[in-house]
Amino acid sequence: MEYVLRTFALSKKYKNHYALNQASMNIQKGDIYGFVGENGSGKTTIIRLITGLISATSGCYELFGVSNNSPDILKARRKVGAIVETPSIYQNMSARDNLKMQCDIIGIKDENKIKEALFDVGLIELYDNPKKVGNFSLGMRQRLGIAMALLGEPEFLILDEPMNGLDPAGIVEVRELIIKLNREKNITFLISSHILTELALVATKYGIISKGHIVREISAEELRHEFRKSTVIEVNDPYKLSQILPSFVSFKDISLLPTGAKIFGDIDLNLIFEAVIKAGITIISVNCNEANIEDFYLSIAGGIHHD
Amino acid sequence: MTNLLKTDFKRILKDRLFMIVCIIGGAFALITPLLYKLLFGAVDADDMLGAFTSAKDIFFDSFLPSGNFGLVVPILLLIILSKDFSFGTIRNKIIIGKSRASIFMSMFISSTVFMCATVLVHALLTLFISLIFFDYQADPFTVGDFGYLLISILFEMLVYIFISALISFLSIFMKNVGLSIVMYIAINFILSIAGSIVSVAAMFAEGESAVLEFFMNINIFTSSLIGASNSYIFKDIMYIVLPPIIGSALLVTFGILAFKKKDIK
Repeated sequence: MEYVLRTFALSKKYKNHYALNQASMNIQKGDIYGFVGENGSGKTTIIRLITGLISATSGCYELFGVSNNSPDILKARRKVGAIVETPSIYQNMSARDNLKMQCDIIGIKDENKIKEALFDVGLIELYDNPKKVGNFSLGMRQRLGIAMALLGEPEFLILDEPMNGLDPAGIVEVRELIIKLNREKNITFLISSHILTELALVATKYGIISKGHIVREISAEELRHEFRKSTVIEVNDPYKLSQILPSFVSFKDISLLPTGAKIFGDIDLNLIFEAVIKAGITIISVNCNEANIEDFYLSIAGGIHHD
Repeated sequence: MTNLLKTDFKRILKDRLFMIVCIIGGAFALITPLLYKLLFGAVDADDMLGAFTSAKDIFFDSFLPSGNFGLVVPILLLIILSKDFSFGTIRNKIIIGKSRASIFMSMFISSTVFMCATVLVHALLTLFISLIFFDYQADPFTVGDFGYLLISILFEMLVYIFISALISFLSIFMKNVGLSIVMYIAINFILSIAGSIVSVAAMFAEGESAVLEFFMNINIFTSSLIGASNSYIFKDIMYIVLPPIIGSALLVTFGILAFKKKDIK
């Protein structure tokens, strides 16, 4: 298994407060890692740590298999692109000049890279536009930030709240761009976001962080399995119900309850109701749960808050 | 490092403040000799004031770090350098894997080049305009004077290398443009005032002023040894050369160390 990032009990302490406490996370090559957590949970702290902006109080991490304590970490960082909180751009320069500056930092001489990056983020019309970035909307700055992060042809792209300030069309564009880059260029992503439903549309793996702790890491597949859509049917005769259900749903999708049954996945309720009524069973209640990443997050982080 | 230098040179050149630096430099170069002419030009040549005013004096005064352009340039360059922090663009350099030492060195070298270039152009412009109104000096200009002028310019540049190291250190250490400016002005004023106090004290101390003289001469902001005569003795050269070189080396070393430990928001 090839890991792009592994952190080992990473901690960051500010005076008497731990912004990050023994956080361990694992991102494999090709993952789109959705990083979820409440405000101040430590998402940006861990991003700042792995991008080298701040140093850890304790613990360590590996980027492309290179330890942060090795001098080679600087080489490993060349494979990383990132937007931390807000895009880092010169407000007094045009989009093209900003991209040129980034090209100079990286050492890219090919002007076409600038065009490509602007095209990728849907800002190609800015190539010849002398408008200063300071006059751009937040959404445009976000996209320009992504374009700058893409210039170095990174293998690992870290986006801290990339949907912030984007209009609905912009959100769709960024989402599609993430999926395209992941599929076509095999770029691994670490995306922190508050818009969990949006994250759910792209993420292949999730990391839940709360109060500086990584509470859980789960793949999208596991999450789908654990938090599938479910329907709870309560009846007067649970035994009879348990005999009828296998005709409509497979055994693995049925969980028997003392008062009825919980059925996972999409089912045709009309067919089941027909059979139940035919068998003389009385239905007491039916509850459908559309479980999603938000439910999952709340079930974990919410529980922690109440501790 | 070359890539970083290229970026830093570009961002200074593209900054509107750099244009303002050039305009202010030109304006000061024109106004200063005119003011000298207005103040001292009317005085009879035999008068003490009139006799002491020369293009050479005006030229060396224009290098003073505590006066006019010498104060303005570092402050405006400090603002330009600090923009890397206020815009957050310093993060782009760290994230892409540039070492903090090379980021600091690039900042220091680019600010040194721009500071020395602007101060030198301003001083030379001041000299040329001064020569319209005043003689270079009371005595005829010789080849020896030319050599002395070149050496003196080199010494003045050492002072500005130190100032460049100081503003690079402040911009990295304070990470806030306002605080950096306040700190620079405070350091400049305190050292200038201290230099004045020490020189007055040295005048009164007579004969027993070796310690005071030492403090007076090592003060980079007020050292009056550069351009004070027509030649340098070894002791003067040591006083002129060592403080800015040692000071710059210390500031660059501490700047790199401080930057390596600094958390970037």
